Amino acid sequence: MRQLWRPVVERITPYDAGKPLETLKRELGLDELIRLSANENPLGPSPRVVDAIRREASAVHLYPDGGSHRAAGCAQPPPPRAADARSSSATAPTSSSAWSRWPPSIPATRSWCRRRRSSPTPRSVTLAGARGATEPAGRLRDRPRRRAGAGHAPHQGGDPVLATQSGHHDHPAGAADEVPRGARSRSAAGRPRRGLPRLLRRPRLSQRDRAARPATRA
Amino acid sequence: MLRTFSKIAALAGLRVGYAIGSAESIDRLNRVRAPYNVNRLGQVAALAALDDPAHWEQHPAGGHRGARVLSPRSWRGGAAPSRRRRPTSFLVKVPGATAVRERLLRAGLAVRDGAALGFSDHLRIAIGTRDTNTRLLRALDRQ
Repeated sequence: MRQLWRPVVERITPYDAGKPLETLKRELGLDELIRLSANENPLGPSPRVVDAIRREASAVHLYPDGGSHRAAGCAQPPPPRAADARSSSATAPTSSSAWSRWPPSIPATRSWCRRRRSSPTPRSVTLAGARGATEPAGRLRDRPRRRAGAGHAPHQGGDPVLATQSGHHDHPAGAADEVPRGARSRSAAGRPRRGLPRLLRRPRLSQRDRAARPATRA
Repeated sequence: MLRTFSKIAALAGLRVGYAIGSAESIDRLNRVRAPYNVNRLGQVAALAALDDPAHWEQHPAGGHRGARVLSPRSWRGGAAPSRRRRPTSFLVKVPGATAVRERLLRAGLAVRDGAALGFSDHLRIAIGTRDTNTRLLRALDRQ
C-alpha cells in the first residue's frame, strides 16, 4: 500500500463526524436527544423543497446536470452595463458593479433566475472569458457551452437536456458524452451510424450552430 | 466566496453549496472538482429552497425568536457574535467543556466539544428552536 499512496496521505487526520443520533440515543438509553452539535436547521426543510425532491425522484436513474447549469444561471449577477462590457474580459463580472449587489434579497434572486433561464449560456461564456454569441433559446437552452481554447477540457458532464420542447427527460443517461463528434455529424448527414443510433437521441444542432461552435474536443 | 445550502436552506443532508469567484477561479474549480458533484436531488432542492424566502426568514439566523433567547448575554463569559452576521451556532467558552458536554449529553442535549475544532474549553452549540434553546440554558445553569 505504501507504494500506491503518497506518504502525505498518512498524515491526514480523517474527519470525525461523530456517532449518528440514533446510536447515541441507544447507547445512553435516552428517549429524546436534541442535536445542537451539528449546526443543523432546527426548522427542517421547506415544504417546497420536499415537493421538488419528490417530483425529481423518478428521474434519479439519469445522471445529473454535470455543470449545475440551471442553478448557476440563477446565480449570475445582472449583465454588466454597456460601459463594463466594452472593457471585456479584463473586467470580469467579479469586479464590475454587478457583484456589489450580491447577495441579492431572495426575491431578487428569483427574478434574475427567471430572466436568465431563457438563455443562460452567453453569460457563462462571458464568465469563462470568451466572446459570447447568441444562440436560439428554447430547444437548446440548457446545452452546456464548451469553452473556447481550453487545452484540457474539464469534465462537462453529459449534455443535460433539461428542457427539450416536450419537457421530458429523454437524455440517454449521459452516455452521449462518449460519442465522438465525428460520429454525430456523420449520422446527421444521413451516413451510416456505426451502431450508435441509440446514443444519438438528442436535440440536433442546426448547421449554423455547428459551424459557429469551435471544435475543441479531440 | 463559498456558501452552503446546509444551514439556513436546511439542505445539510444533500451536500449542496456554491462558489462565487472570478472567471479564473471558477474555471480552476471546474477542472479539479468531481464530475457530477451536485446530484439531481441537490440541484432541484437548492432551487426550490431559493423559491421559498418565507422559510429562510423563519430561521434563527434570519431573525427568529430563538436567536434572541440564545443571545450571548444569557451566558456569563459567552463570546458575543456580531449583530450583523447572525450565526447559526455559537462557540462559547465554558470551563471544563469536555465534562460539561458529557453531562449535557446525558440530559439529552448533544453539543460539540470545541476541542475537536481546536478550541479547548469551548462548546459549539447550534441554535435550536425556542424550546430547545430554553432547555439548553436551563441545563447549563444547573452545571
